[in-house]
Amino acid sequence: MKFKRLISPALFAALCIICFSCARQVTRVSPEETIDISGNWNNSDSRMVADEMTKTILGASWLGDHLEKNGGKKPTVIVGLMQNKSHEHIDAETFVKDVERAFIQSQRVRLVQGGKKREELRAEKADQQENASLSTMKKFGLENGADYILQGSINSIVDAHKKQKVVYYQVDLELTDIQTNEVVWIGDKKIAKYVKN
Amino acid sequence: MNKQYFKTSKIWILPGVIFLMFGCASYHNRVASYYQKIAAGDYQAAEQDLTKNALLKKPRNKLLYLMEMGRVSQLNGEYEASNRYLNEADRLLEIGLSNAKDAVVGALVNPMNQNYKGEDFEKFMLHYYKALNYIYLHNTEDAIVEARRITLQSQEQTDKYNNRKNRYSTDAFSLMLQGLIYERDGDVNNAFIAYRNAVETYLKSDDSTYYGTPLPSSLKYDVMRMAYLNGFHSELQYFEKKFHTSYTHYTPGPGGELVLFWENGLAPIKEQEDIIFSLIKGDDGDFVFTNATGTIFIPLDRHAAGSFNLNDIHSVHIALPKYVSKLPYYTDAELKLDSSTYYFEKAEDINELAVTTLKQRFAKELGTTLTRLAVKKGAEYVLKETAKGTGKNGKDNALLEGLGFGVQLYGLLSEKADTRNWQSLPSQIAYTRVPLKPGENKLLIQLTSSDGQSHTDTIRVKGNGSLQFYSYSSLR
Repeated sequence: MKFKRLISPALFAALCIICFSCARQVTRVSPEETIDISGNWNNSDSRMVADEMTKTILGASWLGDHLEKNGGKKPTVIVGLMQNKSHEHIDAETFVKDVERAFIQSQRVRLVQGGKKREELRAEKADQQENASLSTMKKFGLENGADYILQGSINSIVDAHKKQKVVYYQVDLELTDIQTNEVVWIGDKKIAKYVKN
Repeated sequence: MNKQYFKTSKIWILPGVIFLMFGCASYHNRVASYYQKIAAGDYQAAEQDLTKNALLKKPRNKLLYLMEMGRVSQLNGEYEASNRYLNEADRLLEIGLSNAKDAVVGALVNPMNQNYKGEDFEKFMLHYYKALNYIYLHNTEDAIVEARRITLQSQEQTDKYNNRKNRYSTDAFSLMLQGLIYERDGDVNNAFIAYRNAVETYLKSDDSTYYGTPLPSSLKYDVMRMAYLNGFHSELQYFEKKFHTSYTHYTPGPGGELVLFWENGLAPIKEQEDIIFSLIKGDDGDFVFTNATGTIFIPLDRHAAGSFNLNDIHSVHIALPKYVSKLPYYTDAELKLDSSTYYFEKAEDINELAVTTLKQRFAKELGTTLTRLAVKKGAEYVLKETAKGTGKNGKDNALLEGLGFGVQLYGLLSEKADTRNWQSLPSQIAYTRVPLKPGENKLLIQLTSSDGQSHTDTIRVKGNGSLQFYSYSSLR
C-alpha cells in the first residue's frame, strides 16, 4: 500500500517511545566496583581517598617517632575540620571514618571524639551530675587530651567547554602536633575525570 | 452516501460530541473554583474544593493533585499533612511517571490524557515547600535532607540540558535556599558552596540576571560572609573584586535573624493555542507545512510522505500550550520592625521561568504534536485508501470509508494541548533578612497595589538566636 511509507516512520517513532519507556530496574553491585555515571564525586572517589590515606598514615614515620619519644605510649588523635572548598557538596565523613577505623583496628593509635559528638558527651556528663547515682556518675575534667589533630581540605578545579569537562579533585589530610603546631604527616589524593557528553 | 455510512458515522458522533463538550475546556477552567478560592485567600474552602475535584483525582493527575494538596495544606498551616503529600509527589517523580501505556496515550490521543509529569521549576519548588515545612516543624535534619535533594535535582537538571548556557539547567533560587538551610544549621562550609553555586549561576549571564531575577545583593553579601566565616580569604577577595565592594562583617544579634519569603501573585495559567498548518508548495517545489501568519515552516520529508497525493492534505489542526500571565495585584511590599524598614529583593520569577522555558522547548512540543498527528492521519488514510474499490462489485467499501471518516473526526476532536500546571505557585518570590531581638517581635508587612491601595498584616516571630524562615503569601 502506498501510504505504508507515510505511517511507518510515525509508527516507528511511537514504538521507540514505548520501548524506551521501560520500568525501573535495580541491580545490586559491589561497593568496590567503580561505576562512573555523571562525573560528580561518588563512592569510588571516597573509597580511593580512604584507601590512600589509611595506607600512608599508619605507615608514616610520625607514629614510630611518637612511640619512641614517649616510651611506647600510643598517640591520641582527634579529628578536626575538613574544609570543603570544591564546587560540590562532598561529605568528608565517608572517607574520614575509614581513616578513624584504621586507627582503631591497628591498635596503635587512640582516638577521641571531637566536634558535635564531643558536645553531646559533655551534655550527657552534665546531665549525669544531676540525675545519675554517685557511684556511676562520670566526672568532668578526665577526658583524654589529644596529641595530634587530623584536619583536611577538599579542593576542585573544573574546566569545561561546550560538551567537554575536566574535573580535578585534590583531597589533603594533615596531622599536626597540638603541642608544637608541627605538621607531622600530610597525605593527599588527586583524582581527575574527563567527562564528555 | 448509503445507509451503512450514516450508521457508521453515528457511532462516531456520540464520542465526538462528548469530546466537544468536555474536551475544549482548559485545565484551569475545570479547576477554576479551587484557584479562585486560592486567589481570594480562602485556603480552607480551597482545600475542601480540591478534595472534591474529580479531574484532579484521576490517576493521570496524581502528581498535580499531590502538589496542590501539599501547597494548600501548607497555606492552611498543616505542615505535616503538607509534607505527606509533597513527599508522595517527590516519590512519584523519583520512580518516574512515564510508562508504555502513557507513551501510547501520548502518541494516539493527546498529552492532556498522559500522566502529568511536572514542569522543571515545579520540581524545584517541591523542595522549597518541603524544606519550609520541615523548618516549621523544627525538624532540621530533614530540612537538610531537602537541601541535599536540591543538589540531586540540580544535577538531574544540568544533565537534562547538558549544562547549556541558555537553558534552565539549574535553579538559582533553590541553590540560595540550600545555602540558607545549611547556614541555619551552622554548616558554613556547605552554605558557602551553595551560595557560590547560586552566585555563579547568575554570573553566567552578561547582566547577572537569571530568568528575570537580577543577582540579589543579599546573596552577594551572604557568599562573602560565608567565605569570611570559613576563613576562605582568597575566595572573599575574589568576590569583593567581582562585586566592586569591600566586605564588612556583621554578626546577628542575640535574637537571631528572620528570612521572610514574600510569595506574590499567582503562577501563569496554561491555555490552548490552536494553530492551523497548511500544506503549501515552496519556491523550490518542495512542500512545506506553514502556519497562517507564515512564521513557521516545516518542510515535509518526501521520503516519509511517499508517493501519495499531497492534495489530500490541505490543512491540519494542532493544539499547543501557551502561558497566560496575570499581573500580581500587589506590586510592592516593605517590612517594618520597630523603627527600621526592610525591603524585599526578588529571588525567583516563576512567571518568567514558566513562559521562557515553554518557549525554549517549543520545537520539542511541536515535534511531539506532529508525530501524534502523523499517526492519526496515517490511520485515517490507510482506512480511506483501503476502502477504495474493495467493496461489493468493485465499489468503495462503505464501512472502511466510514471508519476512515470516524478516525478523521476523532483526530480532529481528540487533538488537545496539555494545559495542566501547578497554578497555586506564586508568580514571584521575594525575600528579605531581618535581625530579630530576643523574645516577641512584631513585624508589619505593608503591601501596595498598582492603584495605590495598601494592606498591612502583622507577623509575630519569637527571636531565639537562630536563623528562622517564614513565608508570607499574597496570591491575588
